[in-house]
Amino acid sequence: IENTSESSPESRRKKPRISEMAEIESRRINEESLKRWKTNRVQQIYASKLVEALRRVRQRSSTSTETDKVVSGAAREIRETADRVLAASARGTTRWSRAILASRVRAKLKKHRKAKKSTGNCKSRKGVTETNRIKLPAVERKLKILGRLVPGCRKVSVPNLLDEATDYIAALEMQVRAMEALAELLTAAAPRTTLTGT
Amino acid sequence: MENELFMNAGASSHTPVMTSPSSSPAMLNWVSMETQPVDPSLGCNLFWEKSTEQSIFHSALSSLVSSPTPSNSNFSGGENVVIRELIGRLSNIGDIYGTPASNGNVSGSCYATPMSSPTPGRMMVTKTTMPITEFSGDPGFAERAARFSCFGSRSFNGRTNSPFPINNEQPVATNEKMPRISSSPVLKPLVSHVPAGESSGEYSRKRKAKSKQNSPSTVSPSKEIEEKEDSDPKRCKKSEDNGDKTKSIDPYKDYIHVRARRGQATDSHSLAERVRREKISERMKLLQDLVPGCNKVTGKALMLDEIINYVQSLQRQVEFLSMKLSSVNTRLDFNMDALLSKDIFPSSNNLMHHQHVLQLDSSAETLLGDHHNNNLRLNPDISCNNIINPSETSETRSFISHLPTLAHFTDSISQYSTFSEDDLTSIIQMGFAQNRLHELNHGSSKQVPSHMKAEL
Repeated sequence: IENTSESSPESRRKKPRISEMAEIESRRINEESLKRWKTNRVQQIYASKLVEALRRVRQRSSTSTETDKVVSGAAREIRETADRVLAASARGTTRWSRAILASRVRAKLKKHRKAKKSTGNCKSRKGVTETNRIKLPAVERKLKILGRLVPGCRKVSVPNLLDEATDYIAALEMQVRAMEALAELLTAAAPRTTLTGT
Repeated sequence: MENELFMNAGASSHTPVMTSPSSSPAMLNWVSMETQPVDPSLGCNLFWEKSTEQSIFHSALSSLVSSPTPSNSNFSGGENVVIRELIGRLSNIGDIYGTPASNGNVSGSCYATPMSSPTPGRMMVTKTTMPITEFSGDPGFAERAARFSCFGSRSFNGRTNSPFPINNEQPVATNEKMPRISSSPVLKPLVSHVPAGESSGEYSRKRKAKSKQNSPSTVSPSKEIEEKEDSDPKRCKKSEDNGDKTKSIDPYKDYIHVRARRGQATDSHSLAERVRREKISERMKLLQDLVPGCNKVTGKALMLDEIINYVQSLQRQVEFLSMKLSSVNTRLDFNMDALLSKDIFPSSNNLMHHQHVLQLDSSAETLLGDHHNNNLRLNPDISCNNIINPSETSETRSFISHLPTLAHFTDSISQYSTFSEDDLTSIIQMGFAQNRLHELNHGSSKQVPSHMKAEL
């Protein structure tokens, strides 16, 4: 493991050809992905970054009035923040992380041009599971669905898509772990009003 | 496209070899092993009994020999590929023959029998340096060849000094073997380019546009080489002839020699298809390990179903958790900022947290019994398992280690009602800074319960 981690910065320095390097990196990332998303160091870094981001979100939202709608809006914001932090910890080595980080810029641009329709569409499309109408190329259909699930991987070749999916799954697992731990900590540390009274 | 076949044909078998840290002498032995055919008296016929490995061996050697012959220069790309595939093949063979436990073992087992020298590593190296020097005529070649051994550990360039100190000790032996390897002078530029080129231990993918042009020319000579399993001199001569054919290949393009396996179709299309299939199946295997429950299903479609479900469930969990975090966020006082900052960052709070933990343990468990359930019901397995991650640093140790106890503590809301405010205050005050907690409790008591529903 140490050798692989040592070699990655070296090989990144070399870069014989860009596309080749991308492939090589994706290969390497693929094999390292399980390790790097499972280390507690990563989780710790992610949790601390998430806390910082949440603090910022809280400060931003504290000025606005608190309604029920804000809760769902805040949830979305927190999810996006969490995704961004996750993508940042990927250090730009994977396609999905770059797509997540880039989507924020894209969303902001679209916000200025149109209403939030486009970003809303993207989100709704993401959650919808497409029924396989044409069952013949079943595997291909599923690969397409997978490509839609992994951000930024709609038009990616099959092996690269599988690589990205591998890393994405490992990253998501880490994200879930960290967010759960954080939520646990916060809910435990903030005593609820039900505790008092009654 | 066929180029990749060569790499990926052995991919499944050699990837474990490649990923494990291989000692350079171990890989070196394989390089030297590759040159042993030059000197059959060494008696490594053990490796030549099995046809597939033999053919691989032959093809590996021949490819190495053939590719550099035509060009004196401009071999940046091709050399890398050739060397890489050669090493890959060798590692493949090593994997086949030796115990997969470690590369050192492999080399030892490979060499113990024919060489009758029990010590792997240096001893083997010394014995086989001769053919290597013969082979290349370049003292630097062995060094660079040994560098290729770093493919296994993928620190390709970091080992300039590791390989062949023994190389220079051994005098170049019989020169009659030199002429057989006409490519030797070319090996130097071949080898010198390799470190500059493919620095990683990964086999390069093919360039579809370019390699397709090259594939017919590369595949045909390679197949010829593969299918005829002759002795070394013949092979070398043949490779020289084939080297002329490979001369036509653009050296700047990296191509991967593809070898048709024994008993399989040698059509270029089928070779390419096999490469593609093997690549995909390789990744699917990795995904299978990652996604729980994928072991039972077979077939790409079902596995993809599982994978898609898993990704969707993970994303849903993230959504749920973000909603939860948002609710917690809104309820938090600004005190929580300081509280969290103390939680996350290392400080003397570690001790306080531990105290807190102990207090909570003693008091909470008596009241709560063992409710491990329901507030945080996304996925009980994940929540229980992941919170108890072993931490490396002290801060995480405190941060995460007290979470399990907090999980006990927070598990059932209903029982919280048994806590009076004073009880809570007394318990928590022992752990946290007193001022902060006073504010916290006072603040929470004054809070309007507007977000209770988010908890459930």
